[in-house]
Amino acid sequence: MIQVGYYPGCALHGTAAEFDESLRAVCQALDIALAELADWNCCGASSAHFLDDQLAVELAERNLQLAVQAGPELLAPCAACFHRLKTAQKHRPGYEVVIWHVNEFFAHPDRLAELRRRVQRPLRGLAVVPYYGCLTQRQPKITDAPQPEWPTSMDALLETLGVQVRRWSYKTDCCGGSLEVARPDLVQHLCTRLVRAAQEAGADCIVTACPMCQANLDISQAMGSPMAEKTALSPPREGDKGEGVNFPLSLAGEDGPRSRPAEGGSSPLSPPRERDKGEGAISPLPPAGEGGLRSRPGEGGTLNGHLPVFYITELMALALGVGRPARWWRRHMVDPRPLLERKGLPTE
Amino acid sequence: MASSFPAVLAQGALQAAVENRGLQAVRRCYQCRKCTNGCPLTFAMDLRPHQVVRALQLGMDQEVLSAKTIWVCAACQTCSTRCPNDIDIAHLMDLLRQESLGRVVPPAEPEVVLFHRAFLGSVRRHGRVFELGMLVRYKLAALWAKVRNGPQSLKELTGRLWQDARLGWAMFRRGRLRLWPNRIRSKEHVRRMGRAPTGPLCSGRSSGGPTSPNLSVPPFDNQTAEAPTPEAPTADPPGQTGGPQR
Repeated sequence: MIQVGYYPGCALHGTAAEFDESLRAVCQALDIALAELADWNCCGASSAHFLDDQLAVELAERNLQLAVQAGPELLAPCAACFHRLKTAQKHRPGYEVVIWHVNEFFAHPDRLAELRRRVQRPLRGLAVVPYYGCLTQRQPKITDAPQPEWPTSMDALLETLGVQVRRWSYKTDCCGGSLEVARPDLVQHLCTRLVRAAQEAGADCIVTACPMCQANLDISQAMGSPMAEKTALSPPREGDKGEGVNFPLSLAGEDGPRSRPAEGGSSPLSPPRERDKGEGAISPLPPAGEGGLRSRPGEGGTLNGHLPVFYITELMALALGVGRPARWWRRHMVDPRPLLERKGLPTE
Repeated sequence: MASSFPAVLAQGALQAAVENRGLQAVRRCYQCRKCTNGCPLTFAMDLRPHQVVRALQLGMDQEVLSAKTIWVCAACQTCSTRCPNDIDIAHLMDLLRQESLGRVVPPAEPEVVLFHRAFLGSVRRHGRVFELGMLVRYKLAALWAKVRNGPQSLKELTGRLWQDARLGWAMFRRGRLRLWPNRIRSKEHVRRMGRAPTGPLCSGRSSGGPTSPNLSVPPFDNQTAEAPTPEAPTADPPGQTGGPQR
């Protein structure tokens, strides 16, 4: 039995309670005692560093003080919290505590071996893509990630659970993060791209360890089409489906950095707005059976071509046979139960 | 857009301000565009990330501060990770956002500012974020800003409300929204942190208000005389510039 300090963060006490519950269940099964920091406060997430640098460091620093009292190791499962705590640690040296994120924590050789030994129900047949997101990896100066562009810790965990890990190149692409509230149209665009890439890789579901990624991917699919229709920058164009990255071609050549003299008062650095609108075309996810994707009409069932988005700890708990997964599935926007049933996995 | 506001800055003042806050590296940029090529949000930007750095070097402060770019940046850190000159562009965006709020430049994306203010207001009030309360406050502020902004069709406004209500209900039904805040004991400690008041959202309602400026700790890092000046306006204008004025 080892003891580790635990900083859940606001999300795990609110919108991502299933992450918290499944993590606790997994830790209990692996003989890891989580000591939640007493009276921890919000780390500031993206808002604090957007508006006030000093606040961003001070909010996280108070938690570091608490963590040092709690022990030599701290587990911060939320990617944003992890990033803020690491940032504060780099800015204010002297806090001797090892800050872990979930993936790296469980992918540690000792714990991985323990996990392998205790897996009761390998999740065979489930094809997944691991989605690491931004803040557990970048920038490596802050996160100390060994391979920020091609992380493999979650891959190792998933393989241990017996799932089929599909290769895709969107492991660390951004989901839009906190823009979800103020500019859901942008998040919709980024998440649509991710979900399509996952479908093209032949995945049944996406696995993540970040509450913000999970919420963005889950909500953007569930609220998908109507939201995209109403908030799209411009209507989707013909032939725009399934293209994946829809990047402006002219970016490489035309509106160069070489500053031309200003003409007619307009900034030489401002590219024409017209074009931006055209390129920003946001197309909603095509309904199952349409478009050039693997929409798997026969298999889709009630999933309607959408992919459930799991927390890594939920799949770990499922393979270990611990916790109360039925409570977690109920909280997902894209209901994972039809998928689990199809794969012969228990949903209760 | 930029031309409609009087120039409020001397040429190059912004670069100096940024360098004073620890980002001397902006000088090193040689426009390789690695930041722009990795950026997931260029489709929504007016200036591309490499253009922001260049504009900064050229002293085009007004263009930089009134660009959408600094507000639609999602802080994914890809640019900072890949820059061959080790320029922390993501942090540069943070500094530019803060500088823009400190000066008389209306933010190009007022809703993003309102959201972050609502978030920090919630943190100051409870010590942790209370999502439901934060979202309601943000939505009201954004709606009010929209209404004050000029004529809006009733259909568009009700459409937005309906959409929010639909999402809110879907999340509530699944138990993803707490109904009560989760308060910490040392709220006072948290309220004393930082240097900027949290803005209009909180100042109007919470009894304690945003931290009184007197309590705020001296400026971050060793800023020179340059930095505190933009702070004075921070106390009020962002409140007004948060959208309604545009």
